Amino acid sequence: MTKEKFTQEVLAAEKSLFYVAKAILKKDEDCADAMQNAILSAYEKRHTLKEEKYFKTWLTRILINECYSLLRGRKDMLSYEEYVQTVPETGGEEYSEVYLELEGLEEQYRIPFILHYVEGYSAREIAEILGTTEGGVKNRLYRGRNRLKERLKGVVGYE
Amino acid sequence: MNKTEWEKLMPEVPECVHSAVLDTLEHLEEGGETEMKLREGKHLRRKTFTKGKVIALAAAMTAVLGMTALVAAEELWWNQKVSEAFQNPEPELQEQMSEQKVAQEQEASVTENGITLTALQTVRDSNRIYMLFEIAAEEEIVDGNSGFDDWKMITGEGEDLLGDYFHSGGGGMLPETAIGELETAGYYYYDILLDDGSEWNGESLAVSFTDFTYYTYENGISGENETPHRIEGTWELELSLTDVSEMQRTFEPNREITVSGVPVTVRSVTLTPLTLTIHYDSGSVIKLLEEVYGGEEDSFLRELYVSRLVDASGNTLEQGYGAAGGVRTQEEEILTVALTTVVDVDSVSAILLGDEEVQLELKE
Repeated sequence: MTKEKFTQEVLAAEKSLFYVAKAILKKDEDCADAMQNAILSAYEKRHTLKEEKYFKTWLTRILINECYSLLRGRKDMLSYEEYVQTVPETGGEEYSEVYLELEGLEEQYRIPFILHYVEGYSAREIAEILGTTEGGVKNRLYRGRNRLKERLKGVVGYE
Repeated sequence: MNKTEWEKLMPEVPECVHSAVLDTLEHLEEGGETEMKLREGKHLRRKTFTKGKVIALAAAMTAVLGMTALVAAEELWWNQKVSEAFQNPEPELQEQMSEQKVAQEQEASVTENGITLTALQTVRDSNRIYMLFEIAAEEEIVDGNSGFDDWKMITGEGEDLLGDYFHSGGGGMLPETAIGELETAGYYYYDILLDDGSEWNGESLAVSFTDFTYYTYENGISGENETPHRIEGTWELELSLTDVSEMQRTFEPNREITVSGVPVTVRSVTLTPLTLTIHYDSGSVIKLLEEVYGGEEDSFLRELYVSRLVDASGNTLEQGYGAAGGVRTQEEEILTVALTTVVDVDSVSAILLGDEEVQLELKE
């Protein structure tokens, strides 16, 4: 893959990558850090990607690994739960109410939810990205959907 | 809602993130710090939060690269949880171990009484096997306290891996699984080290787990307040394993080292990505026991256990170890340890033993 093509593919996937990173890390600066590391890592390993049509899936997996590496780098100081609690829930007028409620879902539901409903990955593709089973992904999508429904009760327009 | 409608509800990419991405892409081949570190095989961690105008992309340079890997990217990657368990080995080593079938994806799955147990991946050599499973349930019954009450692991040769071999290690829900937050899914693992010098190269392993117990916490999270619930059943899976490959190196230094002032002879060292086995001359070990430990046969001979593995430049490749065990025969003292990461056996240049870090160079 040429650098030009690599660049085009990364920019085309930028929004998706940000959604995924934000689902794990929450802080924008951490998302930037993880995305930078993922891009560098992917560029270094670009020769291992056999088919370019899998680029986004492949890069997403690299990014998820980088996100968890970043979290682990802080695990001496904070557990994931503590890390999440120290990050103020993104508020402000720039986020939709639905997104805020989605952000409040547990991580194991939030990530597959975003990959499927926002990014359009199939359950099988998500299972490959997350290293789990298709059945497990479907289970989490079902649970995540129900939990989000509960959270959205009372939000105007989503009764 | 469809995908387009969901996208409208998602936040925009912040300027700081977009700038960081552009900055990274711009410097990929510029010979700057990013490129230098790429060539050195390191990852650059940078935080750039320049706001303002977007950095223009550098003019594209084409660099045609040979397609050296013949396996699709998806097939090379380890399960993330397995990778974390071994402290995220370098991708090249993960790839090599996958190609050599030391690391294998598993697919066997069984559902019983609303619980689905799925084997995800194994990593093994002739002394050790690490297995990762996923537990998925219809109800929220999985947390760090959940688990199976009993288990068996029968080899293809009809041997009871946990009964017929001396072993150490353990298993259960992954250590990072929270307690008190019941979910519908979680990860279960086993890490077994055959620690008496035995080797097992079988091609299949039938694992069976019996009765699943989970806890509810109506009165809070503490041992006496937890309420156990049992789901009876037997979950049986067969793991398909390839005959262990030769991803190992054996050294026969037959060299004397001095530990705690006592000369001890190292006969051989066998190293795989997962385990380290050292064969000492038993006569010299007995002398160590007598002179340093008052002849107490069950003393833990910390001087003889590995402290670190290092490469030719002295860089630490592995520090300490996980499970460990040993056996004493008439001729040898055999010590086996499970490594906490996986090592590139070709990179290991020396092992350092004990608190004194007595160095033993490994030369074939």
